Amino acid sequence: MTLFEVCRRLRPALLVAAVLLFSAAPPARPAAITFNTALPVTQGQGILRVQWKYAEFGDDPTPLDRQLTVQAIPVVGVWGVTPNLALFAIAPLVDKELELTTPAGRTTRGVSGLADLTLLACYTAYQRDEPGKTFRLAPFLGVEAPTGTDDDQDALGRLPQPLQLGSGSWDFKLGTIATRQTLRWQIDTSVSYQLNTEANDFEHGDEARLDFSYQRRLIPRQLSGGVPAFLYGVIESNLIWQDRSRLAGVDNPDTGGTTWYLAPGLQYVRRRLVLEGAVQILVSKNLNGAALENDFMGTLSMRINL
Amino acid sequence: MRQRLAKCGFLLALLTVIGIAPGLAQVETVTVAVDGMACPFCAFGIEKRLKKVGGVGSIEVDVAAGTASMVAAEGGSIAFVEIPEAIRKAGFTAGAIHLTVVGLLGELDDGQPLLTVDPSDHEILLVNLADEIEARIAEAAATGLEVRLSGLLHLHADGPPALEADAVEFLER
Repeated sequence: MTLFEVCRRLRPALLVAAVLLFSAAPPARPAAITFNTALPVTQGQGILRVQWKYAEFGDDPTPLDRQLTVQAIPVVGVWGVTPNLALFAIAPLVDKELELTTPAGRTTRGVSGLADLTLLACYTAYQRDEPGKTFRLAPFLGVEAPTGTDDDQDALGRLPQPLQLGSGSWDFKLGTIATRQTLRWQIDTSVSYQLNTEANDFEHGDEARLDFSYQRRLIPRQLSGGVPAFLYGVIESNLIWQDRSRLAGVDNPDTGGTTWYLAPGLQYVRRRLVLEGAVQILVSKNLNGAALENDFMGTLSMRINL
Repeated sequence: MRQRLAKCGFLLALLTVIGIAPGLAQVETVTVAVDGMACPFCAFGIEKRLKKVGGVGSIEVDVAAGTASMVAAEGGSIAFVEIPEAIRKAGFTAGAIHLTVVGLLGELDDGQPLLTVDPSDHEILLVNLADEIEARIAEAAATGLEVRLSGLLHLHADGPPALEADAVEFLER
């Protein structure tokens, strides 16, 4: 198997990793862990979010015994421009490492650094507030700028495009989020589509997502006065469809497909701080061509009201 | 200098006698219902916005009750008309506003009782009063007495605010 084929077969795993690690617009309010929410950001107030995401892909049936590890630290800054409009800037620090067996022995290829910057605007188009509960509907629109390097090389030559930090392309995202929150529980549902464009003769497949999150307050069981800290139990579902990628204008049959993840987690919420963690478990997949199995995907996150 | 101090002293004494002593007539406390607030993280933004309301000294949010309570800064008076906008800027909806206010009783030409709040010179109409309170206020209104009233406030875009007072305390001078 040539190195080109290795990279081609690796692409689905990298795309899945990229989709899970970066394309889910990180929430900044008390919200779903793996995607966004329609809850408000106070006008003139900032929120900082730092996440650590870790994913391993393996179980390679081929003699190459490929092992892919992707870590990302998306740093998210949010600003409430108006009570209805919030702007997000997402700068992900990324480390990608691929281990594989070649005729020359065990080899590692990878790259670390700042990946593509995403700017996102979220607008609360509908809001219905009641005592102790709210319903919001918020469309969002975003652009991923090609700020990450897309021509990194190692001893074996230029890294294949999916292993690069940056896509090199301007990619666009739009969608809408509906959130229902009460003092006891919260539901977030999001539908989104990411339009990827071509760069370096390569075009990642477009992506559509249907995300769902249910959060239930576990502690305290009974509310008293003041602003107590809440501990939520969280279960999330991420249904992701990705189109085939195109190389030199030709569809790559080993890319794209549909995956469905469930993510149980916990969320600890105080007045100025949210700490949360979730593990994404692959429930089912229908990927095109060969792909590595997703062994583990975890997220730890911290949010601070500035 | 001594003459100026004497003039100031005389002026202060006069203001006290006629019942508009600074620091007495004021909005002392306000409790506002914050509709849509359902988690601790939301409370911070509400507190931050309400701190910018004029005259506010301290704030206490109660997530379970869905309220934010403010106490006036020492010598200050809470600018209650700014509260709904502050809640809106935090991303929520202001509900019922209860306040405690000290002011001078008076009445309009048609006999409608009102309260003048200094230093903002707000005029608050007193409406839907319980019979007992209405009788006591009507008796005292003509004399310009200073009172402390508590009750539900109604804000109107095209008119003065109105207070449904459910408690009254006549202040001694």
